[in-house]
Amino acid sequence: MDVTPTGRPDDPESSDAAELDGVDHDVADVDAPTSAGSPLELTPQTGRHAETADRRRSPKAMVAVGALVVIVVALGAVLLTGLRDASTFFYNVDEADQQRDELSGDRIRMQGNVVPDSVERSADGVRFVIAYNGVEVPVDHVGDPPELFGPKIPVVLEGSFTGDRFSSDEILIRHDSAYDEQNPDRVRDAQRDADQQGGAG
Amino acid sequence: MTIQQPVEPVPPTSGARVVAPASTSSRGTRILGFAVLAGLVALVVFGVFISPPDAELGETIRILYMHVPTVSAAYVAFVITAIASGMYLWRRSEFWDLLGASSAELGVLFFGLTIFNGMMWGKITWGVFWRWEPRLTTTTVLFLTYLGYLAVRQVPTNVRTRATVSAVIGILAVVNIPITHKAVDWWRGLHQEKTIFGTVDPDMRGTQLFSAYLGLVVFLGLFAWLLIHRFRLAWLTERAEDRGLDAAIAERRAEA
Repeated sequence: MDVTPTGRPDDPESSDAAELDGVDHDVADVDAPTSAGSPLELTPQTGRHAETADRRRSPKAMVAVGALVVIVVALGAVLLTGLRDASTFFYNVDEADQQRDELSGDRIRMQGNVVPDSVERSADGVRFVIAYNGVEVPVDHVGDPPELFGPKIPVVLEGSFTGDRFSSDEILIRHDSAYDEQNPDRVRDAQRDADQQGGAG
Repeated sequence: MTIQQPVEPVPPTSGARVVAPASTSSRGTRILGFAVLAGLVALVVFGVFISPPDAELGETIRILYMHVPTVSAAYVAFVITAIASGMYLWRRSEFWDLLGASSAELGVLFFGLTIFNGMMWGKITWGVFWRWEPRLTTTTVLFLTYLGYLAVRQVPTNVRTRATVSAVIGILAVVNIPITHKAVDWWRGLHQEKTIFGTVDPDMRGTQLFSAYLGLVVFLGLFAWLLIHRFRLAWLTERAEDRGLDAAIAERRAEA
């Protein structure tokens, strides 16, 4: 009759038919040089160079290129703004005092030594006198001074001139590379400076 | 017609087991590794327990026994990258490309560590983690440049283009090291002057000085150990990719 095992070659569900189909498609999909099955087909495989086109669209490529763009932008931003600030990171007390009129109201950094015995508590922070190269400027600081704050270490103040005084809201300790085992009679330039200013004032 | 063969012969069954020499260690690296480990223990003993606190800095001086060594290792790493980059452009060999890349990776690691322990030191000593002062600004530029180097290496392209582009960056980027290093002398900033390189600090002495130098030796040893392993790993990765490719070719040939 019409139903015989060998009489259904067109049935796609049949296991042997599917297999045959699969093989056919595979052969058709493979590049022309390889489909011949010849042992000499070596032309299309040229190492990882050949994969380039596929990998360029991969998520990994997007991440790498994206990261690169972020890095380049950050580099540009740092170079443009950072280095400009860095070249005049602070004024010494004498320089700031000299340019006081121009700097008035500007937020600046000022470096100098704290005059010994000038430090006193105020309502919202500390008051002290800062000195460098023989010039002294009184300072009102808002907030707690850092732990190392004292007459022996140079400091950088962040703030601005208000009238005769300098209003600061950040004290940075400018530690020089002087290390010592705990040794009270050590004398460094900065310290000697500070002591001289202290003696003068 | 010449067919490029991988360095190691591919066994017929390589499809299943791609990497055969599954270790990056050798007798030499094991000895170096144990020496570095012992050195780290000694550094902790001297740096944390035996050496006295500093007159002004107190206990925070101990951070410097790590800070100076990590930045020194990073600088050495970046210089090796620059040399390897130059050698690559001259000899065009995979060895120099992979050495440069491995060294740059470790340089970024140690430089990142330096920035981190420096920020800890800054918070305690200066009172702030960060200010855009000359040393820290040039440091940021240097760090970003080498991050860029590593990012460039991740952009998919063919291996020769990747090696050439990164070699050029590896040479250009190293110029920033002397600038960063001398920034404390050239411009005013918050960061203190050189501590060990160039000028052995005259004020550091006794077990403080010993701890500083011990840290330097130990961290350079650690860097060397890591570099050998990282380079061997990079080399084996390349070999594995070669083999994987060969296996894929063999499979396709068998299918046909």
